[in-house]
Amino acid sequence: MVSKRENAITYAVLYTFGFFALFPFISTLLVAFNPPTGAAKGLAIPSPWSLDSFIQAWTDPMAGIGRSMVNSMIVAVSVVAVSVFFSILTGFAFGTMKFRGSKFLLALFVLGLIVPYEATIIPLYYEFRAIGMLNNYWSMILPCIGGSMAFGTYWMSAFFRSFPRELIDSAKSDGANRWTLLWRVIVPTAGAPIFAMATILFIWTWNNLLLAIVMITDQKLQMAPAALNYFVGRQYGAASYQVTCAGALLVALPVMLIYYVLQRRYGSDALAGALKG
Amino acid sequence: MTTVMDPEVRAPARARRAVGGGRARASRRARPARGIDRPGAWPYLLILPGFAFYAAFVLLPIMETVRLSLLDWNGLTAPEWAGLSNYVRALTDDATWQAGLVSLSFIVFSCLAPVSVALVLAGLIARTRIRGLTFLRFVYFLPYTIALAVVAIAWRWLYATDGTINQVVRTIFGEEKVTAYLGDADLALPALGLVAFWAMFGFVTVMLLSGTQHIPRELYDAARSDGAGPIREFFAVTVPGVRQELRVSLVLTFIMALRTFDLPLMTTQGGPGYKTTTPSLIMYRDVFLNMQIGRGAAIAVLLTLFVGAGVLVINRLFRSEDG
Repeated sequence: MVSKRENAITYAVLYTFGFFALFPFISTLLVAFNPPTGAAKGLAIPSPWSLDSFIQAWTDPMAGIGRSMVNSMIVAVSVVAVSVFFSILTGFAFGTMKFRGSKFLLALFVLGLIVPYEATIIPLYYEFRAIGMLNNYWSMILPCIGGSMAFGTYWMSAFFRSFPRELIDSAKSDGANRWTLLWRVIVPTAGAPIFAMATILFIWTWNNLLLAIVMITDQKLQMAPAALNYFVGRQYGAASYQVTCAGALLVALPVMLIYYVLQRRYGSDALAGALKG
Repeated sequence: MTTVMDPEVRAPARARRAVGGGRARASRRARPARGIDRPGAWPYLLILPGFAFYAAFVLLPIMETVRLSLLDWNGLTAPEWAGLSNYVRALTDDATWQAGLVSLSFIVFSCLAPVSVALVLAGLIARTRIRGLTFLRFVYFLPYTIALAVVAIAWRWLYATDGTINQVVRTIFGEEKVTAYLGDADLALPALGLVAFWAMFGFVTVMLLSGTQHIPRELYDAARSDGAGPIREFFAVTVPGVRQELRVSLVLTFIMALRTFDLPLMTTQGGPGYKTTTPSLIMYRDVFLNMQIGRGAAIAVLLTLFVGAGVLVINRLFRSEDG
């Protein structure tokens, strides 16, 4: 079918890009395994390999990657839990029921997918400031739930729309009311799309830098990406590049783990499938 | 989109409308608990919590941003009506136009370039059976999942004078060719562009791949028996086969290109000069550092309008091709 030479070129191109995608991680990883003191250079193969940079990044009292990751975890888990629950409800309504204004309301939700975050952040900041709610978890959690509803509703509506009608009807004729139908019949079959949605919402919340640096200025409550920003700020001061790279990898770790689990369980298509419309 | 009709929901809704009138309003207020049992209210109740959050933290703030853009406000004293003067000031400022140019560059770096390369990669993968595809897909997608704050740090090291790229440059060309790429007036923007490309190309590839899977193999066989070479096959089979995925990836990467913020903030702070300053960065500085909230809001509104216009154009392009 395809000639040997063509095949060789194909493999060369694909794996070159694969290497390109991985290379920054490899280079960062190598730097981070160097001891925190002294100067690392280039592709620094550590000798000896040391975990000290990771330990220092985790415990550094000012940047405090460890503390910031706990903060981010609390926020991200709350946002994902609430958003997934609400999205199942909105998706169930839009996907299986016809009601007055449903098209308009769904369009209103989908609009949120293209509106840039920048359009909301200014009033969010001043309103949270006005009620004295800056510098606490709520100033992250509440706006992130609001923002997650656009994607969650859109994604769960698409799932419920494709759910076989016969199953819904037969459950109804068995006397199941809507609530048991939703939670006992439909949701148990929706593991893949719900987990994919949860992963995306987790990634978006965990990675959100703009909201984090605007809403939270208290070092103790800092989110993980914002703590990295702080590290970078004093790059040429106390923290060495080894520690900064170690911190960056620590911050990347939870997202990488979740993405890995998702793709092991549901295939690498799960996320991409979720993102296309 | 197929519309699903739920007869159980529809019938009572129609009945209620038929009864309608003032009597219903009075009785509803008298017995509010009854409304919850009525199936007609079901979908609205299901939507209510999600919509409340969405309205409070997305829809209302958007409207409030528009209002703020019409005010002269420093965040402390009472705001004053400013009409369109914030827009006039933003649009007559050279910095805004410079940021617009940076945005255009990012449309190339993190939208057009990744989508083109991803099309080729997906085309290559679609033609044959590739060993290690699962691994490749995982690796390609990885950069997209990582926080841009982390990406910024990884690439700062690659670009640093002591860093990985300069190590190669030093060995081959000698010390005098070593460059601080992110501090160089001409190289900072393309250097960031490469990072943006890196962060996006795999994401788009994986998305397009989910489209190529639905292309029937017979189409490739037919093209080949017609004597089509790899290039004609690409334009005749692969590209039309992933139209839908192509449209969505263009829309998503276009939005992300115009929103570029984390990357310059954490690498160049928009410098040298304004060489890598994006509209989001200007907005952030106006509002949170320079206390010119009206002007920052005006830039946010302009950015949103530009995103909306771009998305419309992309969708229109794909629709007209259908006809």
